[in-house]
Amino acid sequence: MKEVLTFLARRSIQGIFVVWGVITTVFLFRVISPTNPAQLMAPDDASPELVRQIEEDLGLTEPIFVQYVNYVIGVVQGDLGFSYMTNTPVLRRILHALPGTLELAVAALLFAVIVSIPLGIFSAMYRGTKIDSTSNLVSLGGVSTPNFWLAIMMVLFISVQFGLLPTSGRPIGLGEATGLLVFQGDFGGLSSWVAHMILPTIALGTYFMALLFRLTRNGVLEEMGKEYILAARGKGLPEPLLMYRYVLRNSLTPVVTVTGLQLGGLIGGSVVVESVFAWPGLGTLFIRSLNVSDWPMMQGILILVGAGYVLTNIAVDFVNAKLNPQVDLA
Amino acid sequence: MRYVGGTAAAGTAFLAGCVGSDSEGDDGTEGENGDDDDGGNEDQGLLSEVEIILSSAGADTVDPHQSAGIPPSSVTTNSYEGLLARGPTGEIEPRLATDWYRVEPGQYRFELREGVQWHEGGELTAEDVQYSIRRIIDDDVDITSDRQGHVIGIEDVEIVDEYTVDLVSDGLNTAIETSTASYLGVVILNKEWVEGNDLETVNTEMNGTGPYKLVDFVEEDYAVFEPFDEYWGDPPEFDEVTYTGVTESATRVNQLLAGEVHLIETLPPADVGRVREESDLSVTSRPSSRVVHGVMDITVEPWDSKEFRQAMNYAVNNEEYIENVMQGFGTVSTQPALPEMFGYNPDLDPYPYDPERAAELVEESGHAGIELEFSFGVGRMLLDTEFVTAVAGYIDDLPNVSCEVNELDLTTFGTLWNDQHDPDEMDFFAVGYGHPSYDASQTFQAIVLDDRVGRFGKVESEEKDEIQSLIDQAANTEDPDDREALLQEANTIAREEAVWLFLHQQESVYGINEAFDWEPRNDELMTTVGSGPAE
Amino acid sequence: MTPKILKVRDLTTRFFTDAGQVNAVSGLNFDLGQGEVLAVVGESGSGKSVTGLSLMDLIEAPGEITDGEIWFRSPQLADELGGQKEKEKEVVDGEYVNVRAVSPAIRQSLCGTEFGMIFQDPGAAFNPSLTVGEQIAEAVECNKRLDRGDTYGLLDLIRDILSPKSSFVSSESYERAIELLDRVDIPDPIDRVDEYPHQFSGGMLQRAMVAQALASDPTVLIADEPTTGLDVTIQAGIVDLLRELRVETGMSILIITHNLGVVSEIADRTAVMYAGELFEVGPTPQVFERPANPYTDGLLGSLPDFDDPNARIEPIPGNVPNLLAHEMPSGCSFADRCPKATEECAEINPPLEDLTEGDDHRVACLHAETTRRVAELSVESPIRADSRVDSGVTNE
Repeated sequence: MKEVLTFLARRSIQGIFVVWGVITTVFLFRVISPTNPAQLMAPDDASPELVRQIEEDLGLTEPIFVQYVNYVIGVVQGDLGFSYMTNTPVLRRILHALPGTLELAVAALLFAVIVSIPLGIFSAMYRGTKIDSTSNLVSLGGVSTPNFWLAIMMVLFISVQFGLLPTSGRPIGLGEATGLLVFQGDFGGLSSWVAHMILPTIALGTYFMALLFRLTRNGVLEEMGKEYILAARGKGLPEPLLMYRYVLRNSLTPVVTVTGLQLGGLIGGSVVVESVFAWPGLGTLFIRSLNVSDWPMMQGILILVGAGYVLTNIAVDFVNAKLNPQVDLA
Repeated sequence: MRYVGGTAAAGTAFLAGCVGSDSEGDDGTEGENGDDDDGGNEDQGLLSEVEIILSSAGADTVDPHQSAGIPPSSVTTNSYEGLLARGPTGEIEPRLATDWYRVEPGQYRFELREGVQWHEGGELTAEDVQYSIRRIIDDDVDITSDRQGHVIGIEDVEIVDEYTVDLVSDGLNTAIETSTASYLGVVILNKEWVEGNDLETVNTEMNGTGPYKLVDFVEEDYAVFEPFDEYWGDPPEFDEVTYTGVTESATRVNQLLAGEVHLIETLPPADVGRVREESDLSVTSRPSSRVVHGVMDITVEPWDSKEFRQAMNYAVNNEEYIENVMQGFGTVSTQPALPEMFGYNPDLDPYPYDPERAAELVEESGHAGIELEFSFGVGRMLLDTEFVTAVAGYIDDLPNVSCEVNELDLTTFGTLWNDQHDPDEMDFFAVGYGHPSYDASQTFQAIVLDDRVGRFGKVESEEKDEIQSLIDQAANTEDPDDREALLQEANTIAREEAVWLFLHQQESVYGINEAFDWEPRNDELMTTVGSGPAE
Repeated sequence: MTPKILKVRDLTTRFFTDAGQVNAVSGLNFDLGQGEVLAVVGESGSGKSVTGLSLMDLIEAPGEITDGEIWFRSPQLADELGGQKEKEKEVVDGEYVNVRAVSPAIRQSLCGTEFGMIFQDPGAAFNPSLTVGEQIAEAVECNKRLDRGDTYGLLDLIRDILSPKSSFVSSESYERAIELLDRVDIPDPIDRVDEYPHQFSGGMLQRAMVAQALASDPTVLIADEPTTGLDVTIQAGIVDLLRELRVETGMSILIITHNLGVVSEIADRTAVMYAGELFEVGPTPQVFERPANPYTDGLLGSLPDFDDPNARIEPIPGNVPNLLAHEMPSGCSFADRCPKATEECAEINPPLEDLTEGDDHRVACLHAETTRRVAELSVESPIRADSRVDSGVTNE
């Protein structure tokens, strides 16, 4: 237990430095960016005086170091500033977009894991059979299909052609839908949520699923050739236990690592998939703020994504250490 | 409760195992429209919940005084009203004012409608009007409004009595009707409510007088309205109105095709055929107030040469590129004013396509052999990459000029155009300017005489003074015919001077579900005011 | 003479690889006595380990035991199976049961409980992500369950994963694991039982391996290179441990090794393998002192002599043939390296036959003084006469 706490403390401190680095880098990007936020905020026909006034209001006339210190202090206090475009707090916008992105990321991840790991094991166990070659072909397709193409095709056929699922949007979040179900016994919200989740989840998760499938299959194949598998068979260990405790557990390390890193990336939102499905998530928000040079918004999102990466990395290392006793947490 | 809308119904249909025929209903007749839409209208066969998709990100704020854009206005006009308004084709209609007239030059009176209820209670008074106009024109009242440029010449507002206000101007101010009728002009807010709330509330909530009240809003995402029962005018016809911003055009088209939404903005010309094929969908378009033109930085060579500017206008075959590249969704420009505007000169013809004449003029200007770069910011104008490439191609075809396309992202483009303008970086570029004022004088002020970078008015010249004096005269002329003649004269000079590379008037193209009875407007506003379910 | 616990007949294991069929073990015949230690020696690649794995039924694809019988003495099982009329000679023969012919379930149960195996590399034979104790306890548990005839399916696994209270290994098994670690002389077994393999030294791990093999209380212990990779003092410790255990439990040990020093210390009998075939088998002193096969001779000669450090080491010239079926010579597989080889050797693959002198000493060589050959020589066999005539003809 002490070991775990030390690990968490040490990694958290490292993480804070990483996030601080992100904050600084992003701040520097803003400083060297040629766009003038005051000009963007001002009406098209604003006078130079007005622009200067806005600059002052934004604190852009202060020395850069002072701006930097103010910004960092703000971030520490949970104040990410105000959006240049909408004049609303960045944090509120991000918190509004975050659930959509998180739900989609987690759903895509679950979809990928649930499909890929059993398929990977199965494929490895029946190596060289038709099952194996078919799975391999599918995974090759999955890895090499661009997700926007898959998304567009699914929408065209499933939503437009046959009207089975909605084309886009996220009219209700999981939280709200669950609330409806629990407090009002209304299934409509949840079913609407599920219906809207399916296509984006598949579009986002397919590549990942194919990737994990290959990792699992190769990992299992490698494990099955190990001598301790023979030894375990020799002592009469039941096959399910052997597959789980010996083969799967030991082949999971790369799977967990990749899963974690992908989740870290997905927290930033998949810009393409969010765009095709008009999904109100961080990716959409980021692209939007990028287009209008809404720096406070971009900074906020990047800091969040940086923090997300740090957290998932800690989680990955932690899980891997649990899976593999040779990895020392300290 | 946004999920109860059309999109959710489409989803639950699947989960319930009910596979609808939706947009593929080849035998679908008009009467079956209900099947393709959400649950809300199936009972009575009439559309009750309408979902409108904007092509931009949606409204960034619902404070009308803090934005001068069309998308936020499409949203806010459901709740907020002005003193006057324009109909779909630009005719002036009363709103919060019932009567309006000039008391004397410099004093224009509006008699307010009595008994108008605010969404959150209370009645409209002259104080609200005074406060709202001051909030726009006076930097010291609450905010610096984005609308100052759209409310011209109003110096102050005087309260005559509880239901009468006078708008005070320095001179005659002929633009006063325009300013008060434009949705980008005077919009009336509740004084007490604005003063009693912080700016963030005003940015995200609405307390208006219009037919619909806001129930849910997320900036740059969606806005949901429900009817306001105490509306002074005709009762609102929909139980729910939703606006969502969807920037991806393919997604918008799919939403429409799948029957999830009823109206989409900016239908890409490539998808027009797909939408037309559906029996319950149609394509509708209207010339917009957006005039697309090439800005030529008159402060530098070769654009200081009138011959060279004319040469560019002769070089481009507008009709051909509009027909082939824009698929007909545009009209050739002849002058700064648009046909819908007061002061448009119907006698002017576009510059003919005459590459030989163009080449001659280039020789005359002494700039033969010049290399040009035609810039634009991607994403603002319909089929921008396509038509810009075509236009640059025509110019490049001239024997003594070469021209390349310079594609810029909007931020870079905006920066280059505004505060960091450098003619070496960009001196010839396409822009689309929309000004829904219906008065040519505003167009002249804003995009011809303006001293903004590259505009004609930036450099002093006889012609500039001439146009300026015509516009000034018009502003002080009360007789409409005389005013019109003055503005038409200004247009004639502007054409001759080739103040722009005249390109085209853009059309707004919409895809619409026929269950929704909605008419496109010249001013591009996508309001539900005045619309209803079909039949 | 002690009764035989194991009688191996014609054991043949093949690997079907992309390069072709590999004859890893071909027609092996040998017996293992009760409480006896039999050493299988040979160079690397001679098929020793495959023999061990074949006995454990651990040959995996692309390998397959294609032929042969493994008769295991189990009066109780023979009784049970003998009662079924279907079972004929090939399954039950007196007190013996043919492990190859019984149902997979019985075979698995037999291999798991009656046979224990010590693997060549203990570092690789322990799962690095489970504690040593858990793995030994698993072996104890498996043995118990096999004895009870319990099955363990996917549902049991899911139950064990989901329920924190449920687990495959019972606490008794865990206690037993500690006892076993103690038995193989691992210090502080109570602490070490919760350590992971990487925290053990090589020698300790080999002892733990022995403990795991003992978990099922096996009748036959197959020790595959139990001393390889360990330094000499630790080797000695392991050999002593095996010797003690044999005395204590009365189990039979099949020790696979290329360390002839270990063989001379522990083995009652020695079997020499070459290219998947048995070349010579007999009591260790006889095989070592009077090797009847030139290969055995060479093998002994290739070893450093501990008594006389100055004696010359003479490696056997040439290499072990690869075991691809289509490249195997038709005659004696050692012929091309053998100093005594004749033309005959390249054509005839000699069977394993009794040697005239000594008890239970058998050899596969045309030049050995086998009983058959002695008999033939005295009777003037026609074959030899023919061959003499043949050679006479060719000489002319």
